Amino acid sequence: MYRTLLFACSVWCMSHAALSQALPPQLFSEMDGIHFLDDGSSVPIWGYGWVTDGYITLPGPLLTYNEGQAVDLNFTNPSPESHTIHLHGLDVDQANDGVPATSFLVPTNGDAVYSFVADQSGTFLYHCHVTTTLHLTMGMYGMILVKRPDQTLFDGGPAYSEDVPLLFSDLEVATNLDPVGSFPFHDIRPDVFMINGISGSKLEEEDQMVWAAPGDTLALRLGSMAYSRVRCHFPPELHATCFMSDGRALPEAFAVDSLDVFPGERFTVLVAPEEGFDGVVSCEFWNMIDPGVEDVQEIRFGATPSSVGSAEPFLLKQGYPNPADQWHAPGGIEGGFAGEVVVRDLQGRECFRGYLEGGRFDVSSWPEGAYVARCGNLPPTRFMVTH
Amino acid sequence: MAEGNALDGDAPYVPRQFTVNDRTFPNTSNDPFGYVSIGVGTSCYISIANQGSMDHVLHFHGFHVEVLQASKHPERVGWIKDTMPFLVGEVTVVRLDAFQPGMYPVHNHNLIAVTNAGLYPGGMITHLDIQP
Repeated sequence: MYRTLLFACSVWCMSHAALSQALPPQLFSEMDGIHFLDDGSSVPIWGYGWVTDGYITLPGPLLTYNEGQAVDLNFTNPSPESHTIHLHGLDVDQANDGVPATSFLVPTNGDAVYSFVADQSGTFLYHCHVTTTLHLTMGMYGMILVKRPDQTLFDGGPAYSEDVPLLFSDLEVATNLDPVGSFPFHDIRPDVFMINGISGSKLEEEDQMVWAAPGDTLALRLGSMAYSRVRCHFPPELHATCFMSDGRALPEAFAVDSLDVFPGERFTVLVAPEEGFDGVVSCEFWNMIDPGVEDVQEIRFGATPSSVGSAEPFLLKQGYPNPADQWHAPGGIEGGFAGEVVVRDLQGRECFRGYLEGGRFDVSSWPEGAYVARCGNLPPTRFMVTH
Repeated sequence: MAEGNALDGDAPYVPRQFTVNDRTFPNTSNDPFGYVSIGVGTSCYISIANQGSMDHVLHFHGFHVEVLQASKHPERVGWIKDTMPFLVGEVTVVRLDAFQPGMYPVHNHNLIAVTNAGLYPGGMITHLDIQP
């Protein structure tokens, strides 16, 4: 069966004016994402993504700044409800705090700029502060790293080789399936427990493992947006030492074998794995209300040359806008566009780069699924390929 | 109970109300005994006791605080934190240096506890009122 996909000129042009000012990195929020669980099922998510990527992820993109940097964080909200960005732990002023009652809401189709100075190195978080109990469990959160150019943890602190961001979170499937009907909120009892948005066997995949070359000192950037208390167990072969918490140096670093990370807390733990170490940091997710271990997830370490594995877990393209309510184009749409078009698939792999001939291109040989097409600086367009 | 049913000792604990100084938000923010009010450039000590039946974790907006005393986390004395746990029965004293003016929420970051009978916002939310 032969299907073609055509681009509607009107869709591209309509948003051109709005995008001309969106050239600096800009976050957006959407409420039509889907997130795949370890068992292959999917749940709806709300979340953040880069405008230039065009999709949201769980967790949201990792934001990285330099110590002392004056930051203007651009944000736009095309989603059907109001959202904010709270910069958790950055001690920003009231105007930029992202709390609806004391700062401001970003309504549907609204834009905002959050301005602050990242004056302390360390690990921080961001999340939506609108109906926080619900918007957080739906996925509206991410991690912020403030780094020093000299690759030390803090002024006078130890040097290290690489950052390993590890963000704990959880969700209750029933809530995500029916966020409107999720009342009462005190009943949220998570049943999916995640590290960087993934869990179970997916954490064993090579691109999710932590790779350490001999002599490497890795900075584990632990943070939690969970509803659970997370207890991490560090095997002695890692020689784990805790140096920082909540973006501040501790008065005295201490060797750590187990560490509790409560919701909203952050820790920086340096590990120097012994040569050939091939083990895990196990992370128990404890129920905060009826204390007991709900689940255990494992951060897997491996020993390879340091060129393998860049420890960039947030680059995994998992969360995704629901393509079905964007362009589902079985019959094609009339129109045309002159610029170069780049199309990527669900995993962010480039599938097509080139110009459309006669306003269309052939997708008949492509696998069924969802794709994002970008053209220059225009907003991305999502579409489905079906056969 | 109203129907004369026996108590089920094995039933899960499902708290529905969460208080700060016996008040739930928004009453915490409307009552001078429910929030912290100091002038910018000054400091204060804040004593926090967890008299509840579950562990809590408080997050300060706008500020880090220094832990001066933490009865169940003695190793944390001297730490500078913006989010810290309070185990059941724990008593903690922190110092706040109010370097910037404004209204900053202080709330439980176990987000089931910022509700009143399931409605957000409520429960364990109060604020710092740092006067210019």
